[in-house]
Amino acid sequence: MSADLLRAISAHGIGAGDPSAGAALDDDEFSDVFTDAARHRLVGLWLAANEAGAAGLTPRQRALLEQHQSLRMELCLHLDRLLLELHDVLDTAGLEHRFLKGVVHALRLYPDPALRPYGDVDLLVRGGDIDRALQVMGGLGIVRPKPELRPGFDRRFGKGVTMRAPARGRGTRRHGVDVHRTFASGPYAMTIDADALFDATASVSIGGTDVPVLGSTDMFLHACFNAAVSDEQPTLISQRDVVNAVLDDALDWEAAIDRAASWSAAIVVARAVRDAWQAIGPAAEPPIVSWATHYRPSRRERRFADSYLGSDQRWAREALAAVPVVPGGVRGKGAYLNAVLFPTKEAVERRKRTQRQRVASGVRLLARQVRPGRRNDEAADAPPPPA
Amino acid sequence: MTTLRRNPRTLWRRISDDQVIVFPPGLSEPTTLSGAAARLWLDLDDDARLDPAGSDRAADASLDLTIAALVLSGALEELG
Repeated sequence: MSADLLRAISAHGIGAGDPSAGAALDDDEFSDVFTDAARHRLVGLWLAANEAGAAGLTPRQRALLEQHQSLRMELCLHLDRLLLELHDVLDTAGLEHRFLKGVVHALRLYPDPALRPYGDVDLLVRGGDIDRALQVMGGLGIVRPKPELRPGFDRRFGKGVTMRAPARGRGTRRHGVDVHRTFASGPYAMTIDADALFDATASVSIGGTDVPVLGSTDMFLHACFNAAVSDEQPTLISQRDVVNAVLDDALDWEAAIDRAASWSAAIVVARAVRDAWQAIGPAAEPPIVSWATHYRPSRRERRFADSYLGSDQRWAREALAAVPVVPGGVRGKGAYLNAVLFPTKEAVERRKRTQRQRVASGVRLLARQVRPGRRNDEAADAPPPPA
Repeated sequence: MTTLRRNPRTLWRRISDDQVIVFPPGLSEPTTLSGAAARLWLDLDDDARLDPAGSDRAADASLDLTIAALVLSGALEELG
């Protein structure tokens, strides 16, 4: 019941319709679905489904959802104000930037931004500007909780840096600010042409200010990376982002696939689109869905994408997959391995693993990789049998 | 009779037809417009639309004057 209802909620406005979705829930059922809906950030869509007469909430259940939604939206408005302050200081410092995910997806991919909650601010800066950007943000009280693995790592090899802004509003939690250099860590941090992400630009208006965001193609690709390789188990709202981006008339999906292929990442698009359609079940099936279902990745693509699966030794698997594509020849690969295996003492102290654990984990993984008979993941991307 | 429009610098989200959260410049916390005030806000539509019956609507909505001055643009003196 819970899974079916969650799927129906995630498909509100685009689904084929699920007759069970409109049935009233008893308190226990409601409690179960609410926990999952909150975790998948679907409460806004659930309320919208109820307004459309498709959810059957009791007045008390509706009031509970609205209370939850109000708190989430208050946080979103605080984050929007923080975003505007960030835009102001970065603009004043002459640092080019693009805002990502969160409010950008809410405003560009949904008919009402309240349907798409978020919990931090994400922005993209050029690798060469990252140190200065972090310095400028210090003026807003934004700090870096974990130091860089080794000097220069973020600028050359990293996905980005997670920062913390002072708590605002009623809550005491500090707000996350993710400063990205690119869309992913590991091998894709090397293969994505990060500077080219600034080639196209668009804007969204937040509080009367136009702020810069990615163009449609890169926004779609980022949504795919976010759903397919960022989290071990993507939230349904991340997968709904992918669906909405696909259904957006502005998307040139063939151009997007070409761009992803140039990063050895067409597999990321294929997995994100295929999994999103399976999870949510939209009524429409545009051509990219068929492409995604039948896509056959190369061994190199599969090796890259599989390094992000699961949580066991993920950082080591990503690092190992990245080594062949680290730029800068032997010296670049040496610098990368030195940073991931032998971080500075300060960096190790602020992370969970000790230096010895990092090295041991990397060596164990390497031994497993070269041992014959290792796990074969080819079935994960095999096309379905002919009907 | 006066005209009203949304202050474009006010951040906001709709919770329902009867509840809108607004976060105008000048406030350190978002605040909630309820009932008629929420419906007034939603009826104003986009930033540029003028509502010729604005003052009556705002007065009917019992919109707090301090909040009204922050979230709305337009001549509000008639509200007093």
